[in-house]
Parts: sequence; C-alpha cells; structure tokens
Amino acid sequence: MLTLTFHAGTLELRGGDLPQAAQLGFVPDPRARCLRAPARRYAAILTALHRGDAPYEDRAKAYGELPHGLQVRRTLRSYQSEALQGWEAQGSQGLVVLPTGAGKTLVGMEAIHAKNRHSLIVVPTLDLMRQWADRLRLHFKQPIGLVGGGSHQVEPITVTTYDSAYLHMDHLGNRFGLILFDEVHHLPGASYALAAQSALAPFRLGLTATPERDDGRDQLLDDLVGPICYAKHVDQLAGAYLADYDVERITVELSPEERAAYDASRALYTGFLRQQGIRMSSGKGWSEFIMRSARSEAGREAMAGYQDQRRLAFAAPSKLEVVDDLLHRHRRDQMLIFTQDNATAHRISERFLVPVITHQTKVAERSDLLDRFRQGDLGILATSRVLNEGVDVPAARVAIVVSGSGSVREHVQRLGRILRPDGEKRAVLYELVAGNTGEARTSERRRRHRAYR
Amino acid sequence: MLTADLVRVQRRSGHLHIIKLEGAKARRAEALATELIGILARSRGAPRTQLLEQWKAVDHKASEKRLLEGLQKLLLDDCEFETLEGAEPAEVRSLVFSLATTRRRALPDGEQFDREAVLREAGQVFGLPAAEVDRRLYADLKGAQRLSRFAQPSPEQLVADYKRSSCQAVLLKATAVEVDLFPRHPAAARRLFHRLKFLRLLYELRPEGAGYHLSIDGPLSLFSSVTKYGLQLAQLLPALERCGPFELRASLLWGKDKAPLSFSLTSPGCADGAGRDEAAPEVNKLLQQFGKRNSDWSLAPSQALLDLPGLGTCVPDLLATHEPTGEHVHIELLGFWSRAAVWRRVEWVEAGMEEKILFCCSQRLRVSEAVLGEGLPAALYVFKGVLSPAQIEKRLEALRLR
Repeated sequence: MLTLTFHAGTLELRGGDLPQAAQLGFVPDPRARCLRAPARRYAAILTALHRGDAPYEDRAKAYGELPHGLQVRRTLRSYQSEALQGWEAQGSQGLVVLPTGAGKTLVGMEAIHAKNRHSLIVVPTLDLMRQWADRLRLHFKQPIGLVGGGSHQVEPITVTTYDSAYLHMDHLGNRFGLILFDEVHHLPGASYALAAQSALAPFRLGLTATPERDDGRDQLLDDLVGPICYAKHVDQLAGAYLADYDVERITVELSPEERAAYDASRALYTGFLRQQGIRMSSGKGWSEFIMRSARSEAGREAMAGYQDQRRLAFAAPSKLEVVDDLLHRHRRDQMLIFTQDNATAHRISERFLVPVITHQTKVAERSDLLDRFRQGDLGILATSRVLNEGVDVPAARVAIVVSGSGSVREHVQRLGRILRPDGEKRAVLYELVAGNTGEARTSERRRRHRAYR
Repeated sequence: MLTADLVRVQRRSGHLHIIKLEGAKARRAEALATELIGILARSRGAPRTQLLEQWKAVDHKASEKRLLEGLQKLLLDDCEFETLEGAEPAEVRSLVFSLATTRRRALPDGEQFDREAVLREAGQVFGLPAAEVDRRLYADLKGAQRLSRFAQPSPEQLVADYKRSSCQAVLLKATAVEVDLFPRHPAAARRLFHRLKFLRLLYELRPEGAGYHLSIDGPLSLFSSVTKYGLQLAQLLPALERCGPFELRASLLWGKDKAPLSFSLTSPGCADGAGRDEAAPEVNKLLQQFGKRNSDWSLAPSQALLDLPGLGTCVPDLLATHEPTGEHVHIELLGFWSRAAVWRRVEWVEAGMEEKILFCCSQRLRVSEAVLGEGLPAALYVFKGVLSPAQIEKRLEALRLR
C-alpha cells in the first residue's frame, strides 16, 4: 500500500511508485529511501492518489474540522462578498487585495468559516498577532492558539508570525487545512517562502493592500498562495467606504549650519562613490559600497559621511520645528508620527513627551499604549516602522511622515493607518522632506502610487 | 556564536577562505582583544551604549573592523546588563505621556507646550526632581542598561574562541556539507548520529577508503539550495570534532548576493576536542576478559558504521572475528539504554539489515531474547548484572552458523 507521510515540511511517499510522480513534484530521495515532495503539493498529490487505482493511506494530514464556525457574524459589504466569492471560485486559493481599513480581517474570518478547517493565520508582527487573536476569539468563541513572542500554544485556530512560521513549519505544516497570510507581500522573502512551501494546507488566502514588492518577488505569490482573485484600491473605496484624505508635502529647508554639515558629509560619501566608480542606480551599487567602504580609511569616512547626511536629513532640528508646529495645530486630533529609524522616533518622544513604539517596546507596554490610543487617552503615537501596517488604530486622523524609505509599499501602508472610516472625518498625511537633499529623491520614489493623486 | 558577517573571509575562485590569524596577525588580534577586555573590566555599572562607544573608538584599521566587532560579540555574549533601580521607567513614561496629552490638548492657540512643567508635575508624583524623571524616561532601553556581570577571558582565549567560532559561523550559510570522516570511536560516532537525528538533518553514508563519506543536508534541500539548515549544520560541528579526524566541504550561499561558494575545513583547523573520547569502560573490560579466553573468536574495537537509509545508522562497538574461517559478527553493547533503543534495532533488523550482529542489553530493560527470531542475521543477548564472555561466545557461534 502507498503511504503518504509528512516530514519536516515535506511529503514522503513509500510502498510503491506513482506513474505521474515527477509531475506532482516528487523526487527520489536516496537518503530516506522514499519519494519526497514539498508539502505545498499535498492537494495535487492527494487528488492523484484518489483518482489512481493503487490503495493508499494518508498519514500526512493531521488537521480536522473546526468545532464550530463564526458565532458572531457581521453583514459583509458588497466588495467583501465579491472578494470571498472570487476566492472560492479560484479553488479557495489566492490573494485578496483591499486597502487598509477596508475590512480584510472580516474577509479572512469568513474564509475560515466557509472552509471550516483547522486554520493558521500568519502575520508580520506581534501586535498583529494579538490583534487577530482578539478578533478571532470574539467572533469564533473558542480558544485561539498563539505561536510566537514567547507563546507556543497550538489550537484549531492559531495565529503566528512569519518568523515563527519559518521556524516551526517543520512540525506545524500538516496541522492546518487553511493557511491565511495577512500582509502577504512579506511572504515571498527567501526564508518566509519556505514556510509556505512547507505547509500542506490545500486552502490558502493572502491578504494585502499592496502586493507589489520592489524586488519583483511578488511573482512567487502565484505559486505560494495563488493568483490575485480580487482587487480594489484606495481611490476606488475612498469616500464611500474609507475616510477621504489629503496628502500634504512640506519641504523643510535646512538651516545654514545644518546645510554646511549636510554638504560636508555628503561630499565624503559621493566623493568616495565617484572615486570608486560605484553607481548607486545599479542593482548592486549599495552592496558594492558596503563592501568597499570596509576596506580603507577613506571608505570608513565615506560610510560615516553617508550615515551623518542621512541623520541630518531625517531628523534635522528644522524638521522637528515643523513637527512642533503640527503637534500644536492638531493637538486635539489623534495623530501618528512615522520615522525611518528608532533614534529619530526616540528623539521625538523625548523632546515632545509623546509615547513611542519601536521593536524594543515590551509587549505589555505596547498593548497598553495602543489601547490608550484607541480609547483616546493618548493623542499621539510615534513609531519607526512598527505601525506601518496592519495594526488597527481606528481613530487616527493625522499622520506625519518625518522620514521614510523609498518604498512605495511602506508609504501606502502608512497612509492606510489613517483611512479607517470614522464618521465624517477627513484624514491628512503630512510628509516632511528636507529640501535639496537625497531625501527629496527618496520621496519622489515612494510617491509613485495611484493613492498619491 | 559569531554571525556570518563577523568572520574575516576571502573569496577566491569560487571558494571561501577564512583569513588565518597567525604570527603577527594573531599578535595584533590579541592586542585588540587586550584593549577590549580592558575597557570591559573598567565598565562595570556603565550603560551599554557607553561600553559600545568605547569599544568602537578602539584604534583599528578598516580591514580589522570585522575582527574587532567579532571579538566584541563574543565578549557581549557573556555579559549581563541590568536596568537602573528605583521608579520603573515604564511607569514614569506612562504618567509623563498622560500628563503631556492632557496639557497639550488644553493649550490655547498661541501658547507653547511646556515640557519642563510636565516633568515637574510627574516628579511630584514620584518624589523625584524633574531632571531625574527625564533621565529615567528611557533608562530601560537596551542602550541605557548597565553592565552588571561579565566574563573576562584572557586575550589568547578570546582570539582562540574567535577562530573556533568563525568555522561555525561560516556554516550558518551552508546549504549542504560533505564530510570524509574517520571515527576514532563507536561512542563518539554514535553521538554524532544521535546529534544528526536530533537536529533533523538527513544524510547519506558510504564507506570510503579507511573511513566514511557523509553527505548532510535537510529534507527541503532536495528541491532547492536553502540555508534553512545552516544553523543545524553549524551546531553539528562540535559533534564532528569529537567524532574524529574529518575533512569537510560545504556549499554556501554567501553574502547579500547569496553567491554560491565552497568552503573546506579539516579537523585540526578548528578542533581541539578530537580524540578525547575513550572507549566505554564496559567495552574495555569485555575486551580484556575475552582476550584471556581460549577461543576461536577474537574481539577488536569496531570502526564500522552500518547505515540503514531512512531508519538510522547502527554503530557497533566491537568486531568479532572467527579466526579459523575469517567470518565476522558485529557486537553493539546497549547496556542500560532505553527499551526504545532495543526496539529500534529490532526494526532495523526486520527492515533488512544484512550484517550479522549481536546486540547486548541489560535484563533491567525487560525485553526478551525471543524478539529476534532464529531466521534473522541478528541476535539479542539479555545479560543479568555483567556481560558474560562465555555467553557472548555461545551466541556468536550460533549467529555464525545461521
């Protein structure tokens, strides 16, 4: 009899051969005297076994049905219903693209309800892990497992982080029939992609507002999760389902002293690039700079220059004066402040006495700050990148991007933080850019999205 | 352990070399280590940031950056830091931010936010001056934590640790390794295979020359080159070192560009533990007792590894030779191991283990000799108290005639 087993993210077939083994992804494995395939191929393999003549035993699958479905249900908006139908029409595999604030979590929970299988939800941050767990507990009225952030409790519905999924899929990969990847644009990274390949879940759902990746690896999502089955963008829902918004770019001129320091630092950096013939526009420019800067004194000075000019552009005192002004102007609004680095976030926190959340903020304090911000006890939250995506902060109306990367995705996600509908509110995003610096070009890059009309 | 980016390496013709620290380079490394250890010794109670800044300021050439940071990493791994005693910074922050929110919201147009007033108000609650409230605001940040305990190795020890750890750090980026292995000892070889199993690595084993060739990677390696098993491969290195002399070749995906490179390592390169294992006392005792018998059988320490792909590797302790005919029977002493170990061996035999072998286990494991039937090339000797050379000889003879 053919026997299919799960081993460390792969499927092992023993007891005979399958005529179409190679097409199904099986490769002979002399190390274990079996045929081996990535766990991702489970659905196709099982279909082939089922259709074949040979008797077989499936010892791979270790998941079952949920004790019960959703206990609290909300009426879906039309686009949410369409998204769910699109996903099921595509064999319950694929991506749903909806802007932040459009209710992706609800679509995810309805998908779990529809398939009624043990489900794993994979999210990028611990905050999101807790947020999903709270929502699931409320709607499914059953214990929710957590794997990550010091917890390792597996339940029929379990939430984990991408990092933990990568670490633990070797033994969790056969315990869930549905796997839901929230903020699925994280998945195609080399390590995380392995987690998707190591799970045998036949049903797969990816949720995101921005599937595109700068490195082009979003192409891999078709294989790891399935193709896009439904997409709606910010401008298609703004006004009707999302808060309407304004984006205001404020160019901040550096003071003469800051300008002199910036120019001197940048000259060290650009001079080294010229002397070494390094072109930063080429794909390998940055890694070449890193490599060569470590080889000489001039290189070390160039690296220090690079870091200084970035620091000056990101957190110039002139910029902080504008932050001061905006804090005052919006002192009765709920506001998020985004920075590129932790140091600037902490500088803002210390100077203006506003709470900050970074990766160093402990879990209890982080939850407390988010709760108090949601309830309106705190009016401002500063963060580097932790709140870029996903975390539900419904009352924020104003965002200040003090500094950021050139990533379109990051910028769209930051805008999304203030778009959750809340009465008649009109959201506003301020983007502070140090004038006549490298940051102006970075800003141009990240604004290449239809959301920045 | 070092991380891969802290190892001093050179790429040459598709091969990765660890830059050797010998002669003047070793002396220079020890000089840097002396400075780092000195700063550490003077930094008890200092914030982490201050320690790191002082270390960073140690005069060094650009080419020594990795070495310096690697030595720092090894020292930091053995340091403990504590948060300032007194009012918890998280409590201080909680109050300060609440007060700041209230004051800011109440500001009339044109009036500036008064930071000092908030700190003073919080200070009244905690009984602290405003400046102390300010200082405690982020006193629990990693960089503000104070050095409380640290290990103080000698500069020579630290540099030796760096060399040893460099080999492991390179393997973090390995996708697969090939090893030519010459086990000194069954006990050490057995530990190696236990380790391989524990680390969930897969391997192929074949005899080669006077030793064995091991190909090691993981289940997913069959489909693509992945560094997923790099940590396990690095963790395997100490067990390899203890097992005996070896030559290792690793396939790497190195650096940000994930360049495919090869890497070679021979045991003296980083091993100082090879050959430390001595034979188990019961094996030596049996060898001595058996040597005194007037028997057609002779016993010798075994170098054999009997591989059963997909099931495991059996590592016999002794090789018994029937002198008149030259026939061999392997002996593995299970002693007081678990019952599971016995059942695993029964499974191996039933799965087609071809070599003749006698397993010896204690009566305390409560298994019967009948679990291995007469038609099989293996037998079980269940001994009471101590191993009996006469009983072993009797069973060897029975096995020879099967």
